[in-house]
Amino acid sequence: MEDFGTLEAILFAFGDEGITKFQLQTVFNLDEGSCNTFVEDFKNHYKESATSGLDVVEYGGVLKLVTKQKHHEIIGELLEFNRTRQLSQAALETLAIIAYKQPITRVEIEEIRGVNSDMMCRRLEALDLICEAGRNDTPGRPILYEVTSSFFDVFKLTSLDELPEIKVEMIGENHELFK
Amino acid sequence: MAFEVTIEQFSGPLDLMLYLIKDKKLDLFDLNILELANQYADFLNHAKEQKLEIAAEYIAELAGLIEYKSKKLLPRDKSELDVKELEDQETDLVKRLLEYQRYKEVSMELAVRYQERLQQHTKPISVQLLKDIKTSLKDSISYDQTPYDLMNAMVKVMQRFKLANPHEVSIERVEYSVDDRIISLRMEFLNKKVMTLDDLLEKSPNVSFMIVTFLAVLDMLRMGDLLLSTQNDAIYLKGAV
Repeated sequence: MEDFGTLEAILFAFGDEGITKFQLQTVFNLDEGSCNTFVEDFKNHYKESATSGLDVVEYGGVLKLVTKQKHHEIIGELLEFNRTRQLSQAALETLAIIAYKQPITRVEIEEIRGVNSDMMCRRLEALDLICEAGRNDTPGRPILYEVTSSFFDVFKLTSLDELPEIKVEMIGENHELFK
Repeated sequence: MAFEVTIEQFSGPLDLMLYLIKDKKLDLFDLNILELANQYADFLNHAKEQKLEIAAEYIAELAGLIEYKSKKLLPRDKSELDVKELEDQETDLVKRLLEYQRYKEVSMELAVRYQERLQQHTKPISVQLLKDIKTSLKDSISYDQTPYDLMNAMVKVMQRFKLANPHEVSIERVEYSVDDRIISLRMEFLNKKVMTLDDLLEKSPNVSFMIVTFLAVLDMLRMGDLLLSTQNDAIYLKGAV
């Protein structure tokens, strides 16, 4: 049943499009539990293999074949890196706020950042990192934003639970802040 | 006071405040807003001297700090209400700074993950395969999905469409000027170099450049910059200078 070769072939063919576990369940006729075990075993097979330059990753619920990170340097010598692929600090901050507080309106983002975020939201939307998730029921019916599946891929996340934990330093009501 | 940093380095007024707090080793929990207001004002003044564009948000934040500062410095009633108002203003600012700082920290971790992901390369799926992908697994789809699932599906369809039908490329028309071409031809004909008219025209990347080159040659002949000779059907041109 556990045919690594078949899965490898599927993942190779689908490239960066990848394949969901749900699709695998259907193709291999597996229930959710055994599909998860199959995928975990398959991932480990690559992780432990010294002869394979590939890794299997699962970002945003999609399984993909990627090159191992340690080979990046040598691959990089054959590539011209595009600087435009860098995300600015402002873009990262905005994304972080949306990821932790989604669905969130632009005004709420601006309250935290203290900066007009209209252009930034549009740019992130154009990059397919955030998308509209309906509208808030407040006056003006502002757009609510949330992160997209490519957000998960770009930041190596399977789900929002994997986001780094936010350290909450609460300011107590009676805390004497200034003396 | 030496300012080695510029306003462009900050992603907003809170970012700048955090920098100043860190730079002056101030404790966020025991923050002297008067001191912060002074630093903030100094920094913006300096930025102004360097003719750096300061966005309205920075000015708005500074105005808030100055408001606080003036209230604190002005002699006033020590009534309960006033004290409470000032404290609220302080707490608000610190709350905002702390919240902002949290997201800033997280965004740095995201940046690391982003860099790592850039080091894992995938191969793109072939366009043909992409077209053939079954979009629904009829027997197994669930029907309790939201309009947003539909929207996401549409986005995906559009992406595939874009991949399979690449954008038409529009070509920008570049205007060539005869005067500019004359200047470049003078350089080419320097040292009495000889070229045939055919050579010159064949080197043109497109028709309009060819026409401009031809007009330039005519003009240069008229002005006596070039000498012309015809032999065996070929037209030879030579710099006259």
